[in-house]
Amino acid sequence: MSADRHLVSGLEGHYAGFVTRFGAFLVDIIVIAIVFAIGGRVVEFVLGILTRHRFELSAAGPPSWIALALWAFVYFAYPLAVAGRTFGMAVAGVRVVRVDGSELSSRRAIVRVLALPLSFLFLGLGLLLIVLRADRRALHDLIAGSAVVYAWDAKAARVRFLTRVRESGVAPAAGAQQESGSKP
Amino acid sequence: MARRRRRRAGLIDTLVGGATEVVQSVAIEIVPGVVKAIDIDAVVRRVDVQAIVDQVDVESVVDRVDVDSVMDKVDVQAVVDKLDIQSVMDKVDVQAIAERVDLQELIGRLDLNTVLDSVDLDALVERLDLNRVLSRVDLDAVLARADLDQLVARIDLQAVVGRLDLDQVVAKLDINALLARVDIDAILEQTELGSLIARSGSAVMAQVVDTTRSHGVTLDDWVHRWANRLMRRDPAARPGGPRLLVQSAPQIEAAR
Repeated sequence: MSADRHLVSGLEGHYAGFVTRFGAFLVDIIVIAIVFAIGGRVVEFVLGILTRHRFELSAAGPPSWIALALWAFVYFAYPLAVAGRTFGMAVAGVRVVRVDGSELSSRRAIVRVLALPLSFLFLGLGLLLIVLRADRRALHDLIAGSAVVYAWDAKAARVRFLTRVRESGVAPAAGAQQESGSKP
Repeated sequence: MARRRRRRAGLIDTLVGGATEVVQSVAIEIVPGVVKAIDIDAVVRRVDVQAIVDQVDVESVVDRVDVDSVMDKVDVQAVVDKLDIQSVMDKVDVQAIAERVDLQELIGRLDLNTVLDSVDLDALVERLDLNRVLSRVDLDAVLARADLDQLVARIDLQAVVGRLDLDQVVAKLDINALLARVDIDAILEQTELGSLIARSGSAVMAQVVDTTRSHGVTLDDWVHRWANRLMRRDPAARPGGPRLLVQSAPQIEAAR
């Protein structure tokens, strides 16, 4: 019960775990793919009108891959530098800070994004550090001097949950216990 | 001379008083019988209701009447039971009346719950061809003049609906034709339904996000415990946080 109370009271500001971070990354990858696909179609359409030839970005080879890499870099680096979180991180309720907990600088944000592919080398050994290290920092976090923490206001979430329970007239016992054990 | 005049006046008073008592007792005996014998429907059929309604300044009448006290005194159910409401409604130009009455003021003065409590709504609905009545009313014009929020706030809708056989009402109504005539956008503008829908939408979204994050954190905790076992750390040890963030949140530490 004390452990539950601790979790309910808040893990906000504590190191975020592997599953949450992976979920955030997955959301980012999906957004990158969707936006790139839509943008690619628009570019194909515009180029088709300008050159009066059918143009396919997927058949362009390396330029399309470079465009994708550039787009992914901008997608990750800009929001990290400005707000300390990407869209996926905002959905998952985490943010990136410096190792001491202060705001992430633009330079560190760029270094972190550039170092991100290194974590995927050697079968994702750099990502495994999130599970193995007590401070849950991956290889690219170690290189950029950053850490990922929960930014989710669990107290507000619990108030919202209890309000919903009260409005629906259901006893909070079962549902609250289930939720309280999992809130940061 | 004066004495004789006084004696004559006393005689007349005695005669008039006696006659009044006789008339009174006769009236008491006869009037209930007469009232029972009257066929109200026949009387109503013979009256040109529309002509009377046209001559009446409905607005001034409504202004002068203490509607609530009148409604308190009237046995509405008895009146409704005795009346062939369909024939009355057929003879009245409902639209004209609706246009002439300050609906808002009337609604403001009427205790609608009391009126609704005293009427057997189901029986009334059964006797009335709602489609015929509604087809003659410009619903949009009526609705535009009424403050629906104020009206709805004053009615105990739950009690009214509880007493009503909704299936019967719906079965009698041509809802498609009715809805086709209503300007839904205008109604939505008058009510707070739009904001209600928006609020419930965002609440559902917040609930989904909260639940997803909760499951994520649960799995984080599970993975963390297994990692602690693997690394031969204390399995119950909680993940820490950056120095500035954890120290700047004393309530988190206090809860530990």
